Amino acid sequence: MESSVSHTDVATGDTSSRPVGLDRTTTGMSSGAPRPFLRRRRNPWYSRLIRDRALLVMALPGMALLLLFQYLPLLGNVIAFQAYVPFLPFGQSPWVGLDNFAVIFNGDPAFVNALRNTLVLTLVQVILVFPAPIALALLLNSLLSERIKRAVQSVLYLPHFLSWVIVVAVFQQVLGGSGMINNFLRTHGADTFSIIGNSDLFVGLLTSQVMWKDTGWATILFLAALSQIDASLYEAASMDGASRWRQMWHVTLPGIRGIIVLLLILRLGDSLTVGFEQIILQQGGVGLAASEVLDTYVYNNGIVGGQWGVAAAVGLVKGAVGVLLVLGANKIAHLLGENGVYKS
Amino acid sequence: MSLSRRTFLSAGIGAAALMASASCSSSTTPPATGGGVADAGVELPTYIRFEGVTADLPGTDDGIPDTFFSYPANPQAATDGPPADGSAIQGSVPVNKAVPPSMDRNSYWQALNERIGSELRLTITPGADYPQRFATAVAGDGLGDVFTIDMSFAQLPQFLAAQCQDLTEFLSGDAISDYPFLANLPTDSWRGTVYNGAIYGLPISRGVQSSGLLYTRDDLFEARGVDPQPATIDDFVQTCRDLTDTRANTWALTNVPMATLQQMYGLPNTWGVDDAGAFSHAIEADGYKAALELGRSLVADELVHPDFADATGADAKGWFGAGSSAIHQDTYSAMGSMYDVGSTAGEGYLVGLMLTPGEDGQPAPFWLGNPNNTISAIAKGDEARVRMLLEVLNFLAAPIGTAEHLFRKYGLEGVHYDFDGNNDPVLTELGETEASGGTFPIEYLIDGPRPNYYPGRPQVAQDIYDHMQQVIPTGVRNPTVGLYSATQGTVGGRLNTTLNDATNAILLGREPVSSWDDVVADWRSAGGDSIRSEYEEGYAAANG
Repeated sequence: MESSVSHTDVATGDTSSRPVGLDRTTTGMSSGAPRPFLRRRRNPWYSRLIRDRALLVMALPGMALLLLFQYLPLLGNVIAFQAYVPFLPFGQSPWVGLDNFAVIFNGDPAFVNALRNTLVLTLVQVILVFPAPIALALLLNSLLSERIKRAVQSVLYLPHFLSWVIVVAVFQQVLGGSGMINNFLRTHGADTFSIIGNSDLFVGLLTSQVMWKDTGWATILFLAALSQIDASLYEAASMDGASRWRQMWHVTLPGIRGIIVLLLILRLGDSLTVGFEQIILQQGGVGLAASEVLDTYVYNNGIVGGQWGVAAAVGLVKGAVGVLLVLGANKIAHLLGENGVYKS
Repeated sequence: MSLSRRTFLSAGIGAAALMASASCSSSTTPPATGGGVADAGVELPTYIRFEGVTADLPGTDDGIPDTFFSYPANPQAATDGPPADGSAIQGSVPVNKAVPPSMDRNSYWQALNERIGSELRLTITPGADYPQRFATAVAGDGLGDVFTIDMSFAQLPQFLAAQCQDLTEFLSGDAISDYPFLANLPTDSWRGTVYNGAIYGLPISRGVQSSGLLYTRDDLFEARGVDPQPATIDDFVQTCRDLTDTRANTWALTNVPMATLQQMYGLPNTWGVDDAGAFSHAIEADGYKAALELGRSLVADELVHPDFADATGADAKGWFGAGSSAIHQDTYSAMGSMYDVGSTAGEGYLVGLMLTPGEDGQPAPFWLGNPNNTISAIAKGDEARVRMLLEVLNFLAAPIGTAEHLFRKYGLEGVHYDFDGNNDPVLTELGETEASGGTFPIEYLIDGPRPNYYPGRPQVAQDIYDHMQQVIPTGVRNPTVGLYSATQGTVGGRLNTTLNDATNAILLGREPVSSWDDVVADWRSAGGDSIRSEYEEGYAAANG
């Protein structure tokens, strides 16, 4: 991705320091018109290759890593079509066609349960977790003192660097049955409450853990986008008598709309991935009915249960759905005139 | 040793369920330890007892192990020269303490290499993660020359046949006399190494020490004036009430000891077999629902630590050691760690062993654990290499009272341990870390027969001996030990996950006890009945 961006810049001969997204929009608008840019694109590919050789060479190590660790392992997905036996070489496990996908199409209750839990979590997290950093970024942006802003920001994004094991342990130590709060209540003869291990509150618990851990971190991107907004727009707006609220609505939000759409699309691609590590650590108490999601289903079936083929099939479908969601959402973004993840 | 979070329930539900830790905790390790029909043809290794050392209380034919009150005096070398040929040996093992320092920073390990005569390159994985590590290492061909087997691995016999060395010609019958310390391992343990009609592994022998029981913090019992030996089930519940003080944040039980509760109601040891050779699972018996009801009421009455459901075995032991709970279910072989967790509790710290009360007021029939913790296997290789590896394993199986054993467990005198006044080796700080506190994970490649010996605590060995004398002679075996069920091997893991989950749901009050009938019906149709008929077939073939 990095390399293709540089390529575009060189091809258009654009040396301005405009943000990448804007640059792409302007070149996109130009399609169809006989501009120098297009004539140059008709150059034979090898001459373009020679012209861009330095950039291409610089991109090579990254490409090699991507190929080796991202694309090559994709080939392992063939086990979704095999009765895979882990101690035989790939080719030697018997081929079973689409048998492994039967759990998906026949509605295996455990699979359906995992899918339902995943979708509920995704929905809740897109509605509650996704907007949280935007709101926080707007709030921080409205703080006048730069020093306080930085201090608050640092405190808020530190939890991102804690691993899930630690985060889950902290929540258990505070909210668990023998956690700080319950121990205090018990010592003073009050009724205790059950949060950890309560299957009714599990979605809420997971969501609040995610928010506590990652909201601060996610504001960084939005704050960067906010700082890109031309200050003269605010001046002009206030000259016209716009209130703070209207400034936010007409200047600030449109200014970061591009990045919001971009992140939302990327989030959709991950929508079937809802915190494997976080959930597996807390599955014992709440039970599978409330806590099994697609990722833990794949783990419990594949690694623990030895049903490698079925696990790979579910994982493959999950990946395919993710790709389709990204492409679909991107298409819609284009129709609405946004840039999306890439330009069409 | 420790029953981990995933395993403690399964210890009650199904022997096979102890999958989460092949490494330890095998109070009832998977029944997948035998060849069933197939082993009829293979001659098991001849048992040749090592006579070099005399126990303070000799073991019995029932399986009570040799008991020692101090380390046997003047341990002599029982082998001559390093067993290996100098070429590096790769291996994979689990560990149930902190992972010891790596070879280059570990003087004990280096001394071990020197004595073996080769570099022993071990990949050491925490026990709770070993099944996952094993599964991925199998797929990636990364286990090495000799490795601990995860007994819950699906298609285990096929894996052994495809990747592991058939050891029959080296070990069967009198052939084992080439390896005297392997010949010193009990026949019951070798039975669990037979698959596909051949000997495919070496036993990590535990004898009866993998049987589970309830440990009691006798110092806490005494402080509260409670008798640690309840005579009836009602007494047991009352004992739990007497030990619970929620306002002080203490609860009687670390978790719901389902295996013990089942023994109270006289249920079969996971599987039972009648005179006609018909098998039935403990979960199918009415008594199982009685056990569930008892477990549910223990939780509902707040007699169990409130965080038990998400706790690891180490967490539960920690509560026991810290005194937030006073009763903990674990195996005999976990006794050492019961004292480890209480190392900061001070002088009076005292661990007792409860005799589980039965319905009739007599001690309940005691479930015998799997004779093996797990097995280890050797990768396929040429004869010279296999013999060399067997020599090394023979060396590592030297029993208590030999110089090899003393070094293997405790390292170098003056560096890793010192003898105390009672002639017991006491580990130094360096020995605690480098030699994993006397349990360096080579003990999961092979080990001698496990003695009943606790350095510096002769009374503990005596207490265990006394407890065993009361329960072992009338112990209940799991009839599937030594049989193999292919269905258990493939879908058993999934079935046990479901059973554990359903049990948890009932214990925590999410589902009523009456829902258990549906759980059992589902279990039967999802594979339980096939497992039953496979065991019945194997049992019939083995017992004529």
